Amino acid sequence: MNPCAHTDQLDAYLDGDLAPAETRAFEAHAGACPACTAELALARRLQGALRALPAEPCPYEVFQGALDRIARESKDRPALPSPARARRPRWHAAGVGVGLVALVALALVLARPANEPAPVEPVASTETPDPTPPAVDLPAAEPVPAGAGDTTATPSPARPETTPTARRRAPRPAPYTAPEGDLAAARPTPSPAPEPSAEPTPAEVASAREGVRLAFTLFAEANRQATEAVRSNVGQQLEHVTDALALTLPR
Amino acid sequence: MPLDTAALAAHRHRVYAFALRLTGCREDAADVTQEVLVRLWRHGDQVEEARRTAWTLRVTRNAALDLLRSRTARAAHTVTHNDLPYAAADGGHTPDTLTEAADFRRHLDHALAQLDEPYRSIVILREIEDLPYQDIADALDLPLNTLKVYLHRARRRLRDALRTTLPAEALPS
Repeated sequence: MNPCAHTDQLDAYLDGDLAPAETRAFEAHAGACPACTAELALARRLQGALRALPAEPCPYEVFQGALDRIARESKDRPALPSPARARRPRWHAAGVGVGLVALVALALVLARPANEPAPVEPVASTETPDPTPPAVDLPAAEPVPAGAGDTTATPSPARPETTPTARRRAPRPAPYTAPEGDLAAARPTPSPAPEPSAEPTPAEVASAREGVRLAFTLFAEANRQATEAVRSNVGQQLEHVTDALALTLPR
Repeated sequence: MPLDTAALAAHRHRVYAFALRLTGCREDAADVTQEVLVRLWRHGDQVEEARRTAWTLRVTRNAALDLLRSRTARAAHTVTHNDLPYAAADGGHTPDTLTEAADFRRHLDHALAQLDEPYRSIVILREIEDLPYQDIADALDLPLNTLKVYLHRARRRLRDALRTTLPAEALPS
């Protein structure tokens, strides 16, 4: 399109970047070269047309729109987090609380001796001692070896752990007994609490395991939510930092 | 402390004009301008005042190119200035010369819209906005020598485009 190699100097000539000697040489050449003359004329017209392009001013409503956004943002950017974010930590805290309560409650249940009656049931249990096992099919129990705990306990067919090894365990503390006279009348026989050396049933073990599993699940969930809450707060701060960085980094 | 309204107002026309040239659409230019002014309000105080124009132009360019990328499905329509008198301030133009000038500028707008980046931004900022080389180099994150090489290349591409689209009689001889 441009057969003359001197057109490479054309823009430098227009910008005044050529040395004086180069400028004189280019002008001398362009005066005699039709291609450079035409190219120079087109370049000058192009430059003039570009500089004459009318600059369209920014409409005021556009500027006003930006000011409105700024006004909204300045109202929404106090030091405190936004209401939506401020509510989240409370839910996470509730989750943590529920998990902890569940864990403590489970620990209390597990720590209670098996022969200790439930707090609300001692009178009823003494009034109607019911050694009847649950209505489940369990293997027949062997007799309890002599000296292996409470000799008054009736061998129960509901006890699956019948080997001496299984029964070899530390004696449980004696159950609380009320002073004579308080409960004596209500108690037909001064029988101790039922089966102080009894082993937990499979149902109790399964229930305890389920409780532990549930407690750990709740605790893990609460921990996850708390971690997410911390991350979200950090992320909120990072949004502003990354925004600022993105604006300054080259594309 | 965020910039005040006067500081934002000082940049709005340049931002809008650059965005309009890049997007070719007044609606897009308005969106870009508002976004840039909000960012300028947020972060402008962290930028040295002498470099604030270059920073603002860089943000404008990034926002405009992001917008164009996100709207590729929409055909960009080129802004035409046929309703504006061409170089009316010069005076002394006959209707024929006005028509010829408008025709030349229509081809020029088209050629400019066809330029790739960063050539188009360079031409806009240097030839239309008449910004100093250093500000353009800062805005586009280019070394000064590279910027000049790109500018020469952009001008040549514009001339080549005009030579192929303009009728022979419209070309200066």
